[in-house]
Amino acid sequence: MIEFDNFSFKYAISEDYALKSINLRIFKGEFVVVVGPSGSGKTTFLRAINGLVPHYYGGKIEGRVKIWDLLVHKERPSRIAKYVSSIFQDPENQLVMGTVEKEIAFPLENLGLEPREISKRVEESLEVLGISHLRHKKVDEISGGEKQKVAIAAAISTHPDFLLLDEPTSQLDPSAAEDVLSLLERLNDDLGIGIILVEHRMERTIHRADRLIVFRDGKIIGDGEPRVIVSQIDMDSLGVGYPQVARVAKHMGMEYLPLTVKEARRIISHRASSLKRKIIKKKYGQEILRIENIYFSYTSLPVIRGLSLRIRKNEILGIIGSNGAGKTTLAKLIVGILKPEKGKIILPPNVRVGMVHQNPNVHLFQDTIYEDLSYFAKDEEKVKDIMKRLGIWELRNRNSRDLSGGERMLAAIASIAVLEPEILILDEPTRGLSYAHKKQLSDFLKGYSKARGVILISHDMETIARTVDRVALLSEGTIIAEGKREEIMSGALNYTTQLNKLLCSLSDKIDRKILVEEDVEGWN
Amino acid sequence: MIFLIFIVAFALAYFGGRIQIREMKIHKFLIFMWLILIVYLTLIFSSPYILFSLFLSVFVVKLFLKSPMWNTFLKYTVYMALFILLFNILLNPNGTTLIFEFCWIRITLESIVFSLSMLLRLMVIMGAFAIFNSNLHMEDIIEVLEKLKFPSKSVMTLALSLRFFPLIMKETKETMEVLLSRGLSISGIREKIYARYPVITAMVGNSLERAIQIGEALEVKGYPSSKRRMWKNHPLNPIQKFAIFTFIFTAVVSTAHLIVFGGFSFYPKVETPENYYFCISIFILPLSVFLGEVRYYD
Repeated sequence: MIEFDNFSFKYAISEDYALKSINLRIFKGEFVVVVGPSGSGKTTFLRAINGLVPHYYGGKIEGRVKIWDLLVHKERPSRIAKYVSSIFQDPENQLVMGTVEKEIAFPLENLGLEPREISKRVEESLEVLGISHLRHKKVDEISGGEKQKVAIAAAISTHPDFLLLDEPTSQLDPSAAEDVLSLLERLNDDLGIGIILVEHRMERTIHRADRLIVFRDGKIIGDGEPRVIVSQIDMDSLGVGYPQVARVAKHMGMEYLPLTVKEARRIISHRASSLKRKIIKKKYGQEILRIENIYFSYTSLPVIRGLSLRIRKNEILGIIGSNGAGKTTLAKLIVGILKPEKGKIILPPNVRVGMVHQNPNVHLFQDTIYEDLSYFAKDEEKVKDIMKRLGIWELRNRNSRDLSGGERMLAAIASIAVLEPEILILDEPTRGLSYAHKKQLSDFLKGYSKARGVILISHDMETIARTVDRVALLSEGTIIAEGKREEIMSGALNYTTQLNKLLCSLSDKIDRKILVEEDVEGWN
Repeated sequence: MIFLIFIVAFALAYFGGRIQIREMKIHKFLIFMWLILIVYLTLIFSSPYILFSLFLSVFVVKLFLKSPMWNTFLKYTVYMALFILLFNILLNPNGTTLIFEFCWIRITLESIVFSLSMLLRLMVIMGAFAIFNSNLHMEDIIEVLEKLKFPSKSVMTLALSLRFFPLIMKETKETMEVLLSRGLSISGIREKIYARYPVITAMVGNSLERAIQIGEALEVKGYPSSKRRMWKNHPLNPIQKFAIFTFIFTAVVSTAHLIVFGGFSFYPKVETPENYYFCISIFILPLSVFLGEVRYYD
């Protein structure tokens, strides 16, 4: 059992308490999801359990945290590691050894187990996670989802009572994320390992949880059964957001909010027939990019094969597709970082292309994010305007390293948008973004695309549906479907939203082209 | 005679890449010790005859061990060769047997032999490293260093540096791409130098942040720990231990030979050939690396 007894903590360099008077108990075998806006204390809460607070991050402590009979602030993290294992956001930076097998054995070596016992546990962990085939692989050679599975395998190899996970799926594509979360559910069900999971994406996790804990300003403002808590607290105004079907039910004035499509089908099907689609006619300007039959390869295997595409002014194009489909390569070809081996990329004279990379850190290198933005753009008013529109003006004097992942991404987008390229490409910008940030980004791109073009590459179907006009589905380096977003996404099995899945599974009379709340007449 | 040696060595280096008789699996500790022996012998001897014997020994090892990197390594040696030859021959006026003289350029037979000898030394080292890198991965090297009781924290630092180096390079490349797309100009040398500032700042910032995250990961994985124990500890069998003894014996005898007979002298006149028996021993003794073969039931 983990017990917080009136626990408060303040980081050494901070004036405010990151956690304030926390009192709770978490029992072995519980599946707990922890949510809250950026900077609300979620990560500090996990650090207080695994001993990083106060042993790695010093500061002022009041109260105590106990794991069984161990007082966390008095024990070395190496002793706490026997009971608690932790998994972090970035799969890349938590794997310290070169091969999968060695990585899983590493915490066991630190516990001083017999080599025979280590071999047994490595074998077990590999099998439980279904990654035995990766055993001898180098860590650099495996995908992000596989890396996160290896991190989980290493974490469970010590037979911990609790597994702490800090946004473990934020860097993964939807199918890899689903894999990892299903796995956690299975570890919780089969092995009784307590799961404490910090997550932004409620729709993926909340239905798996026994308990939901909501943080705001270092305090717990909600703790209990997930359905009860989401019905009591306004998650949208908190910036956390609801699963889409819950938000729809809330729009309809329901008190009991469904958390999955299945629950929504039961609860709101009778009201769904009244939903009417809002028809918006948008006018597009002249063509600003034409791609004709391009080919590209890094090795002998083609990554882009006979791809053609176009984009007009005032248009937002969404590019979707599985990992390795060639989305990032296509973006690099359009920007000019790569050159096509065959075919043409035609840009009218004076049309500039800007690209926001997946990793926001490569965009930010100055002392403050204001300096980052004004490094190339000398127009102060423009910098201020872009920062305000993206909701980061208040953060202007902060160093990018002190911001949350979502805030960093918005700053990276601002650093490119401030140069006002005629075509703005965003490669997976929603990673680590909270609901409030995604909404902000979507509104910003709609405004930015007036008289310009935007290409949005994302796995986040809700953001795609909320933002883009046209969608191109990329597979094995070529576009296999392209058209208006409601034509491509409605009725799709994977590339669509929760709301559309719900509507498509109901009566034929319902308009199945509704993807997001903004598509419904009378709703804003 | 010396020129013939060099021609043979070059021919073997060039054509050797295409010949592979077997791909024996040798105990990683033995390969590590073999490399140390070869490097040690190469550094203490400058005699072209001994270096040629060593090269032949390395070449024989190459024929029986995996060596896909042989061609790559030896290719760089050829580039270096031109530089070494020109530098030594043109700028080293020592020696008594004059071959060519024009203005300040004075080419002697001794300076040519000396530069060819340096080249041979380079070929031996590159060849040995090609074999070493073809057969040992970073994990193996770390395991060997742990076995040799290198301080655990130093080994961990080395492991982490090697693990994250490609990632840092990738981020640096991406930062450069971003800067170029944001309008950074790098047309002149001065601009190119100034352009490095934001790239380096980003690289340092990212690396520091990564260091914090790695520190966190190590801490929650229970590192450092006084109880730490290695998982896979491949012990040496008696034959492999004998091979290690042979390496140590070779190193000791070679050192003694150097102390008793002194080094090879190129100036003012190139010495007469070495003791043939010693050259043969230098060829044969390092071949005891073959005793370290790991069979499937080991």
